[in-house]
Amino acid sequence: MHFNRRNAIKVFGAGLAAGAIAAPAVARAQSAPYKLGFISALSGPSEPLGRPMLMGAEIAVEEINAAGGINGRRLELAVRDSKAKPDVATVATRELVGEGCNMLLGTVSSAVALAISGMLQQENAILITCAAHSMRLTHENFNRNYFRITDNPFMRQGAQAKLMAELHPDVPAWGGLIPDHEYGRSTWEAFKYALNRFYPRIANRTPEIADPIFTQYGGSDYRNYVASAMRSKARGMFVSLYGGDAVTLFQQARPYGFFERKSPIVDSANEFIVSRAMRAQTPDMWVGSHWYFGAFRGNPINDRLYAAYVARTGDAFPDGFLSEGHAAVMAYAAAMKKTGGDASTPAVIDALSGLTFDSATGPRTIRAEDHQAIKPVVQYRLRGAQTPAGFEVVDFRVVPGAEVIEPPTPGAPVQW
Amino acid sequence: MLSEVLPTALNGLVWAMSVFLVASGLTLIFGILHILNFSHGGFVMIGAYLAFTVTNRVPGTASVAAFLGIAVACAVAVGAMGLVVDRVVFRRLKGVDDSYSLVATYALLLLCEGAVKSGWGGNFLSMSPPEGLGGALFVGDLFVPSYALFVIAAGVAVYLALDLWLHRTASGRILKSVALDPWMASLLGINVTAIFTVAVVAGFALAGLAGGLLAPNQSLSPALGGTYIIQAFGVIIVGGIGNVRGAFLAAVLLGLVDAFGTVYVPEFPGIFFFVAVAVIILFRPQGLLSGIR
Repeated sequence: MHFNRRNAIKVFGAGLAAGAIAAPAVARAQSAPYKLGFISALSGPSEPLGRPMLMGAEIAVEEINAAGGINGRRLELAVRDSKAKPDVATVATRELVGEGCNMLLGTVSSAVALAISGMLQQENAILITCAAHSMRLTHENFNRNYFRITDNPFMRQGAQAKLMAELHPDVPAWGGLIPDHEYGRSTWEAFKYALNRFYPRIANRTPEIADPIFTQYGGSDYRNYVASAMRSKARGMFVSLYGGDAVTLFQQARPYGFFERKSPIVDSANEFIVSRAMRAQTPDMWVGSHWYFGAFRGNPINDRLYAAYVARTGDAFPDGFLSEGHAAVMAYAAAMKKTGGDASTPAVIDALSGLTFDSATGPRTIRAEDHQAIKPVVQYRLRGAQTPAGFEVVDFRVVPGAEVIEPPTPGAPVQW
Repeated sequence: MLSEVLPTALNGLVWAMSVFLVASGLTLIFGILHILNFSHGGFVMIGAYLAFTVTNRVPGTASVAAFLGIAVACAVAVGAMGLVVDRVVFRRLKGVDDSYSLVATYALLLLCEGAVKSGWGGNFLSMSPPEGLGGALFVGDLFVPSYALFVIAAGVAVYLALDLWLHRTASGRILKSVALDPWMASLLGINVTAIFTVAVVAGFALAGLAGGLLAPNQSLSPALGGTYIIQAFGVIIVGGIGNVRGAFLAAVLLGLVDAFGTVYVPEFPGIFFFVAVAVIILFRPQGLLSGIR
């Protein structure tokens, strides 16, 4: 084209017109919300675990948006129900990625987390899990796109065994009632390892550890397992049955005098789920938790989260899943502040690796090596009581995560 | 050795009778209407939730008599639901392919789960046995939870009542005749539609009774409908579908196999029920007993 004044005006005019058309799109892109994909069990038996996790994420998104968003952009949550089934979860993950959510969070079940984790690199997405406890996620099956912002069995059961060695040095004989699946076996492995580690050091004696009693998952009758536990010489009992299975077990164990003859009872992770169901019948036991609001009073994030939960539900005892959904959103928000607004997968992965962010349990650091968060491990002692809730928290302990975390060995199994 | 055998057998019988309580209504409906009612577990669950609510809301319901009365009331309430289900769903399933029955009854199960979730929420709940059944008895060296004995007694009582009804009463014989040949029965002047309704209402009432009696046995959640149903189907298939005596026999057999398997091969918890079902079906595909008995 011969470049004279007339053509120059045409080109300039065309440029202005194109600019006028494109400018709102650019502006839209700069002000469009960051989309986070939430995926967890919102129906089926694990719904009571997934719902509070979603509520925590929603509360975090509302708080962040009310404070002006991230780099001037709002956060938006796209929600999918995994039904705690890996096949459903993988389909939901592809849907979320297809909708432009490369930043995913949630999951209760380890099987679901392992399934999603395996497809992250192919889908160019990131997953922060809030509760899935399989050690494989940050060890044998580690990949760079996966992060865990909560504790793991090595930390949780390590802290529980340490506490038992401190509180009950006179009870060296331990046994376990363990559900026969990956989560159950890994919790027992971790608890047994930690008993052998802490009893000699703290109680100055070698623990006597009985073979665990493996139980059926989703059973209606646990009496034979209870009877086997009663025959065992173990006095202390570690129980990692979950949700309704744990309620059924405890209910059927009571007439055998189980709680009189087996003490202390250590429950791996039932939060307030069992006590909410059993109320005054709740056995006296130490329970592992992701978060207990009473342990972090004075932390503004903790206090705001608790107040928001009570305002929404009227319930006074939130489960720890609430704080973990909240913390996952806080982690993404901190990462995007660090990237200066770049929400691309490589940039967010780099920002999350080694990130320290604030949460309801205080600051957490995501280890750069294996993407496992160093966070406080929380336990509380519960028992049935004549209170409006039907139970009470008698005592609680917070163990700094750095004291009980395993060495990072991404790509390799945990060294027990 | 004996100290392990007796408690294990007893626990096997508790499992057997709790599953039989659920399976009895299921097998009765199949025996008469030839409909495999997938929603049966859902109505057991509704019975359990109703018992939970009445026990917690109404004062003075802590006694064994009140507990039994509430279970009977649950049977009546769920039996009434059976009347509605028969009119709205089951009557439309006559003469259609089995796949329609499966879809329709599965939809009913989803409806039950949805109703429980809306009415009681998704959290786990639990109910204690009544006073008098919360403790344990010592029979020699044998330690027996009272509620476990109660479940065994309830299962046997329901079996005897059903057996007497089906074999020793005129209405039971009419029911059996309709099950065997509804056309011939109708020629003899029997109101076959009414008999079908009686069977459905009785089957649903048994579901409600099972729910009420078993409410303290396990946790309650909207997934309770599925907790017993696989075992109940196993029991009615092994017993001979539609056969109450067969279901009772199969429940005892499978309960004992599962209990002893769990105790003596603890590495594989819960697997022996399925192994036993597979082996029995392999050798007796028609079940231990066949036909309505």
